[in-house]
Amino acid sequence: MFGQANQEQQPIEQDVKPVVQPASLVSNETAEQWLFKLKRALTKLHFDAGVISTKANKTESFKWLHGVINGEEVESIAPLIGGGITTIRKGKTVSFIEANKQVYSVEARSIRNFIPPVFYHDIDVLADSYQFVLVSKNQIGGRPAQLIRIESRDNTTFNYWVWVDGESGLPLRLEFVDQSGEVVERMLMTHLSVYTEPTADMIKISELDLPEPVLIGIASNKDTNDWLMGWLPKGFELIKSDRHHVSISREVSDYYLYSDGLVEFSVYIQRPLESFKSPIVLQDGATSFVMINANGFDVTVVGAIPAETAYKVATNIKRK
Amino acid sequence: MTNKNFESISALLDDEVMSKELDQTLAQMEQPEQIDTFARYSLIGDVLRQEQELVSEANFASNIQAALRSVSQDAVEGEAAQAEVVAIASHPSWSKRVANKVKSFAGTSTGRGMSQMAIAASVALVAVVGVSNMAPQEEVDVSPAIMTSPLIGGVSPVSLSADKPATQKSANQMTQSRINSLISDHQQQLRVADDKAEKEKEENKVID
Repeated sequence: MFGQANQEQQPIEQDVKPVVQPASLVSNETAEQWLFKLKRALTKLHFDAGVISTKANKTESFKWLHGVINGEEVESIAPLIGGGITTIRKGKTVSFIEANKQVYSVEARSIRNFIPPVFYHDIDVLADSYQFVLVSKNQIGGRPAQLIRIESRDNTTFNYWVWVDGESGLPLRLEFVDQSGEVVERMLMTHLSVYTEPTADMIKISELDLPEPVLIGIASNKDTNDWLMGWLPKGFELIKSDRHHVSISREVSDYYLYSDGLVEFSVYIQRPLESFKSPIVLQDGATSFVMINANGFDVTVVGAIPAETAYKVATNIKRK
Repeated sequence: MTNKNFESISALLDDEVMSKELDQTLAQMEQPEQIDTFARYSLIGDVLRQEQELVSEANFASNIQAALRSVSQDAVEGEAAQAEVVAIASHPSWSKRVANKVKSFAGTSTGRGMSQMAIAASVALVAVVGVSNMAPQEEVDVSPAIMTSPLIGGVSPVSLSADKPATQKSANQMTQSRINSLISDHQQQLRVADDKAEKEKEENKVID
């Protein structure tokens, strides 16, 4: 089946599912079915997990809790090492809690940390830019795990590998993998307990009063900016664009946010900095930061895409 | 300008101004010097009363901006800049107090508008402080690499072997602070991006 999908000379058939799927006869479930199982597990199960996420040479560890109480999802992701931000979600309200800071909320369907939001939505939106490949089963922490590779169709974005727990359907391991097969960012579950009933911790979260979601400094969806994107990686669509004061420095910037469903990148166009030596390319795990100077303005592209892709986007931006 | 004029401002802040003097006092406020005095007196008052509420006026953000800018221009080390932000954040909220004072004299409609702004700004501030505490750390840990020549398509991923001194030389303080603010802005935009995209999709479905 995978051989067929890779045949570039038949682009029309590539997106059409064959009537008979040899792979499905062998392993019973397709990659799509596994990802559906993953979505169901993420939103329906009561579980308590330990998670380690590794970016470049930086490691973070979290306690991850999810339950459903009276039909409403409750979730919390708290750093095991104190001092970080604890994120709590009840239904569609996500609150950020930090010591000595005022708690605030935003509206979102999932906590954006180590799980891409698309896993909570309809995975089919990825079909344009990625192909799902069902790979062999193996063991992670003594549990049977099914590896699904979400592979970039034109190699402009990272590949995303997901190991789904055979029993619960939860993600045991998630990796951003670059084109040379190198892992650039990894999330690994260190323990997992699935419960039949909500635990005391979950009930405690459901009883919390979270502040009302507030919108602040959020780009609206007005395409009023005068910039032309000369090149975009395949499958990326404009989510929003505006002109706003960026956080911290309050510098004014023309802003665009693009997404292909799995990852996003932001484009900032600002007045030039005198002292800055173009270009700057930074990499932190899967996140690339590219800032270049182009004829009287500075362009910055930041997001979970390879630096080459970000650089190509930045250099192809023109005035309308 | 005599101290007598300042006296009426002081009285205003202490709620001791007579109603017939009110118009006159507020009229004086149009002069920049008087506004400064008003702000300063109200700050002094807050410090004396040991009020420690979170600052949440819109122009406070621009104060942070100004503070950060001066810090970065002075080429102060990252730790110092961090300390500065924390110090500002824990400062009493004199500007909010000014807003409240003025609000109580102004009409209710304006008052309401301002209080909404205050809520929004307070959220921004939390995010600003939260991120600026993290961002410098990130820079240290990340082993950022600077390409001195442009990347051309097909060149291998950013080399992590680029040595640190080169990084510090070309990424000066101004650039550094822009990098920090853009990364944190990107994260902020993402926090609320999901459902926006989702909602639009649902709306489109309805239209279809």
